[in-house]
Amino acid sequence: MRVVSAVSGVMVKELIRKKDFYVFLGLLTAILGFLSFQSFSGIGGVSRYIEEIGYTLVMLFVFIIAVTFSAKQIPDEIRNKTIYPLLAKPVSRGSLIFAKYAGSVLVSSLSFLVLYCVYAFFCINSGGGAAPVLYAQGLFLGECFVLLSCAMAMFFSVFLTFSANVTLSFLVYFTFGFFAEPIREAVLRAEGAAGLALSGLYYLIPHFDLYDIKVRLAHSWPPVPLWVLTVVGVYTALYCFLLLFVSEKIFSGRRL
Amino acid sequence: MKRYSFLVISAAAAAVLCIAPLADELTAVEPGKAGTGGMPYIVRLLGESRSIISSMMIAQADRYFHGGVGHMFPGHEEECPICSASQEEAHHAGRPLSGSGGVPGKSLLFRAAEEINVGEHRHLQGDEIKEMIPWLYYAFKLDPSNEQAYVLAGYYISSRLDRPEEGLKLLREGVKYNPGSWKINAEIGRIYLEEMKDPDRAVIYLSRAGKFLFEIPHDKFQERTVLSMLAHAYEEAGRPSRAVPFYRRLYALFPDTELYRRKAGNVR
Repeated sequence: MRVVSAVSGVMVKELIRKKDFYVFLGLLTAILGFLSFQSFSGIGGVSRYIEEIGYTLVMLFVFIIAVTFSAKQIPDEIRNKTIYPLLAKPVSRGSLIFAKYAGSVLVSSLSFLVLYCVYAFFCINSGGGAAPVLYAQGLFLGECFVLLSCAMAMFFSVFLTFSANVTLSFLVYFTFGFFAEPIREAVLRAEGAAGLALSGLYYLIPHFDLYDIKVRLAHSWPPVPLWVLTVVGVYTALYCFLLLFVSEKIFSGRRL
Repeated sequence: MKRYSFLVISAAAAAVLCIAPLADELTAVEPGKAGTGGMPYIVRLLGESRSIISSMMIAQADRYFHGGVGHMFPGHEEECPICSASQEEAHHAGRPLSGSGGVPGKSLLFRAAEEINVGEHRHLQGDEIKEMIPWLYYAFKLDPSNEQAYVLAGYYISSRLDRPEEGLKLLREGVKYNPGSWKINAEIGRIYLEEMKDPDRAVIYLSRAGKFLFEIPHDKFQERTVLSMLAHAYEEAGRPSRAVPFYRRLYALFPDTELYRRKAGNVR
């Protein structure tokens, strides 16, 4: 536990010291501020597009922070050779992976919380009609999104370089984010062996679409049922556990 | 070597930034269009891709009209897009949870994904219509040659949001960029006829729309759109005799329509 808190503390300091987060915070505030003051042929009080664009930006910025922070942890330690004194202490490789993961999650969650608060402020200020429970659900799903993003980047980081990791993470995010619906339709339509193979693939890929409730938020649809949130929470926990477990196995077998 | 590369990259970027809008100005001008000269630099920099983005924004406005859900249901594709006439109140049922493939008994993960994606849709009503205006606004700002964006924005602002003056203002802007557009002129004519109750002005714009329409290949439905409004405008302006030739033409195009037969007088 001390290892986790020590590593997490260093990473939070890194977040505060580095400019990434401030750039995203400034960018989000500037874009949402600009959109809030827009008037279209004298028509004001338009809020839905601010809510949708804002949510997309928050998720994108948090994903960038989560991936860049998680992806560099292990490769940086190896490149700077600081991994040796770290492992010389009574710290197992598994503990190190978990500590780094926890640090990344903490850093990304803090960023997400601040960005989400800015987003909620602009939404409420522009007259957004979403129910408070939907904002709370957005917060929960966003947190699950952070957990999965960090776990995925951490998994890639045990066998990929930083740049390869970031590229692959973005590729996975955009591909399975944008094509989630067609993939689901294809799985549902497929039959026989193809159906079985596609179903297997469906469960294997990370489902970032499960955390996206921007349509519900922006267009004031009813909140997501509780059982869905439970399924998403359990799915995230299982998927993260699996990724970290495999990461630990790969990292333990790796010659440094 | 590093500095040299930086210089080459900078020079190439500067050349692109200077040449791209110039090339766009030279290549994008079509007959009857005002060109790209009056557009902001950043918009001209996008080149022809702006027309794709502009069309995507119309699709986004359509999605907003349906409560953030696209036309994904069988049988709904052409029922009520924002550019069609059928914009009555609607609340369509969602898809079955098993998806359009109709495969029952899928896992909780499938069902959760289906639940998170909104599976039904409704139409914007009343003041909610304003929520789709930003996309239409950016659609014509980004590509002023997009006549459909002007016409849709003009229709929704003037007729659905009860701001005919604002609608006319942006349609006139549309005419500036598309001086030969029959669609925009017809929409201005419609607003004068239906919203402003000024049939004399409506006649001017609808006649202009008819003139532009007959200069290009068109179908009988487009002809009906303009001619029926023009004939109606003449009647409203107290000159019913001027409407008769248009009703005769409409009767020739649609011989099954009783109204045209009656209005066309003794023509058979």
